[in-house]
Amino acid sequence: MKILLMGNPNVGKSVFFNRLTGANIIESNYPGTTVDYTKGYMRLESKDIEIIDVPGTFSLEPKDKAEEVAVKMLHESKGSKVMCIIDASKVERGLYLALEIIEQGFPVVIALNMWDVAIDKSIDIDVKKLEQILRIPVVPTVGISGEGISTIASRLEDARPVKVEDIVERTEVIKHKVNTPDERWTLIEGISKEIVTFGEYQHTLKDAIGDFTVKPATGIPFAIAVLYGFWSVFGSFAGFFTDGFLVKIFDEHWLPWLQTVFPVGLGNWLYALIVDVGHLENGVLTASDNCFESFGALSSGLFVPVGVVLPAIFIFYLMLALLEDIGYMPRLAVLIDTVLHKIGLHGYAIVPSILALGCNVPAVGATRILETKKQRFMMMTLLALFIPCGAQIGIMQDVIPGSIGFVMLYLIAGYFIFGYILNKIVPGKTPEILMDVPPYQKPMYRNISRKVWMRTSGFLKVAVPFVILGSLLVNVLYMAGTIDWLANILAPMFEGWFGVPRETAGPLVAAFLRKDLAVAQLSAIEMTKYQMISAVVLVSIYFPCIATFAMMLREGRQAFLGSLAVLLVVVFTWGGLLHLLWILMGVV
Amino acid sequence: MQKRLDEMAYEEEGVVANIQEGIRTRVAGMGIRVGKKIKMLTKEPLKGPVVVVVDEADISLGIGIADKIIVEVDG
Amino acid sequence: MTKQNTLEKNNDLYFIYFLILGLFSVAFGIADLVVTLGGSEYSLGALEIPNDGFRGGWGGLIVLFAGIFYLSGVKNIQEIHQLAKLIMGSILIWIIAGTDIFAMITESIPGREDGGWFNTAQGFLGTYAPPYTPAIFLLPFSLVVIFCIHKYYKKQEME
Repeated sequence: MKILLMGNPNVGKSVFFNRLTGANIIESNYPGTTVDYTKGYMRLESKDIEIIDVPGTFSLEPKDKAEEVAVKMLHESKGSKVMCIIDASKVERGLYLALEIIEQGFPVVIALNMWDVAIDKSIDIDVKKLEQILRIPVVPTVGISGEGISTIASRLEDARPVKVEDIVERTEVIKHKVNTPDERWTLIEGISKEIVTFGEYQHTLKDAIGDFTVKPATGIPFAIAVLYGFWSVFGSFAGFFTDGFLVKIFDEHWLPWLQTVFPVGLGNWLYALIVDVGHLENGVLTASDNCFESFGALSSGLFVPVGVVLPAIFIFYLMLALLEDIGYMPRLAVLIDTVLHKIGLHGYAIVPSILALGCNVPAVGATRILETKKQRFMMMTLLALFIPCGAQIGIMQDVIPGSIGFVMLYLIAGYFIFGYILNKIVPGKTPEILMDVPPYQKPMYRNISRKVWMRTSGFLKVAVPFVILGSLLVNVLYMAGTIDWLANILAPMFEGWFGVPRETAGPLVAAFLRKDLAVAQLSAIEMTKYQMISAVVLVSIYFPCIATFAMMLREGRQAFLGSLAVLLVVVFTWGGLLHLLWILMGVV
Repeated sequence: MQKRLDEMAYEEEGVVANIQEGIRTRVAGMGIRVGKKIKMLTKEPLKGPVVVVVDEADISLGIGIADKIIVEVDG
Repeated sequence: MTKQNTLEKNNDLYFIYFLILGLFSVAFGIADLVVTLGGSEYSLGALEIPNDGFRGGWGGLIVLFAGIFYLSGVKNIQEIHQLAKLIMGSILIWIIAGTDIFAMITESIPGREDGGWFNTAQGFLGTYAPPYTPAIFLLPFSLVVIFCIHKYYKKQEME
């Protein structure tokens, strides 16, 4: 026997699942889809029973991939029992799904979860009466505290299949069979009238603030403040770790140690590949004194992801998870949907967009939360092109601190302009936003740590190996002379079209493999402030880093090629436009 | 008096009178059905989404959906 | 004095308090923006008004918003929506002052580029010395709103 955990999205199913299963859980992917689900085991009468956390769905008439998978999983599990999790403050929706599951002949138990929220809203539910009407076990629960969970687990054995006709008879609400959605809703509203009482609900401070943060006149200034706070903490935290300690650890300890311990020395090709390429000082090859310029796969290849990016994305994802857990993100999504919808994206696209500022790799994965293929394609392309990742931002702050604001603005402008254009030419419609704006709630350590861990480990597991690989490849290509050869061929284009000195061709070509390094290499070349800005913008917009490249490929070959095509167009137009701007300003 | 949902004024209350066929199932799942009491909370600028309150829950809807719902407003 | 009169008097007190706080916030916010646009830093005793685009421009704008929130919530603060506006004004101040202080902390601990791992005791303490940004001055005054929340809930319980 299996247990399926089903319910609407955002009813606290995962918290429930975690409480029931403890540590031994497996994350799986439903074959042929990008939908994930979790499986685990729960202890029931000294037996271990398999329990599956099915993706949230509103009904058994699926409207998207995740819901399709939920329906499929249900049909593949005949003989299982279903634990239906319902948000007690939104009972009717939950009952609709429960009713459909009952219709399919499955034995069901119902958990009226988030019972505390219902109480806060002065919503009272006559649980006994509901049990009477449905003839299935119904238990009020509070998932986050664990109340009621052991009760409902023990009631699983009482679950029996129930006939809908019997329910209809018991409510005396309607006189006919229930076949269509409308008829189901009528039945549910009838049941709801008998069991739910709305008390005198007065707005609390939390609600007042909740409303003000979604109304534009007050919500937009608030959002601006939240984003400022985000950015400021990010900067301080990252600076603290990177400039404060990690640079010292890497430059004064790791690098010298590597240089000493490595079997071969300066000048040797393997040494240059892995440890230090060295540089010419008065014609003599000298060792580098910092990890950055050494370019070795284990020196700079390790320094940048661990020393620069890791602290940055950690704090980034921590704050994002905090905002998500408190319940602020839906409000932000509503506020920004106004703007994003005009370029064909859903308000929630703000989440992958913000994630991308940390690292593009988890962000590309996060595009799965968008419903349609068109949106996922657009989002993926736009963020790979126009949203610089933490590594780039960190290096930019080091190398061009004064111009970073302008570069960001130019990139954001590109994001919206090309978003608009893509929206017009890519086929497909953008569905209108339709989502809950939940009340604010206390953030939970467990949720936040889980999210931060998942996203940071995504970065560590994928981006770091690729960065090291990229360093190796870059060094090999430099040694083989490939990069210089390419640079010579492309130099006229760089000089003429983009207005940057020909020496930048090398770093710009290498940027495909190591974007962050490219910016640093650029800083060593003599050029005007404006050329530098052009060069940095170019590095940002063309070719996502190799790790992101790999992620994009995973999302589908067609989408990937499409993104590549867009990339070429964008690089030439948006990059060239900047040159034009400088010409018009007379600074060339 | 009947109004489209997106024509309602701030804080105005009413009862859902009619929902266009195509979106009916979609919004039903969110709690918006004929006969439900509904209140307008806010409208985002530049034809952005609207936020309404139904059964004590806040829901945001794009304008493309809101203009297909007719509400009978009091007074 | 009757209960009603004390309530009214209290209302007046808070009215004046937040009115002044709001006006100061607006003034500081505008000062931030003006100094940023002007280009050079401005110090007046213990007060230092930053001029960089981020802290001065963006941050100054938020201090200005905080002031506006205060001013809009000043009438009849016992009413929940007005109190909410005051709270949001304070939240904004907390964000700016809080991040300013966090920045000070993260700057005070590590040693300098050529120094050791950690800052010297002198350097450490020195980071916290005045001058301070305007938001930090507003911070203690913004905390009064917590007291107001406390009073509000007490009143709720009595009803």
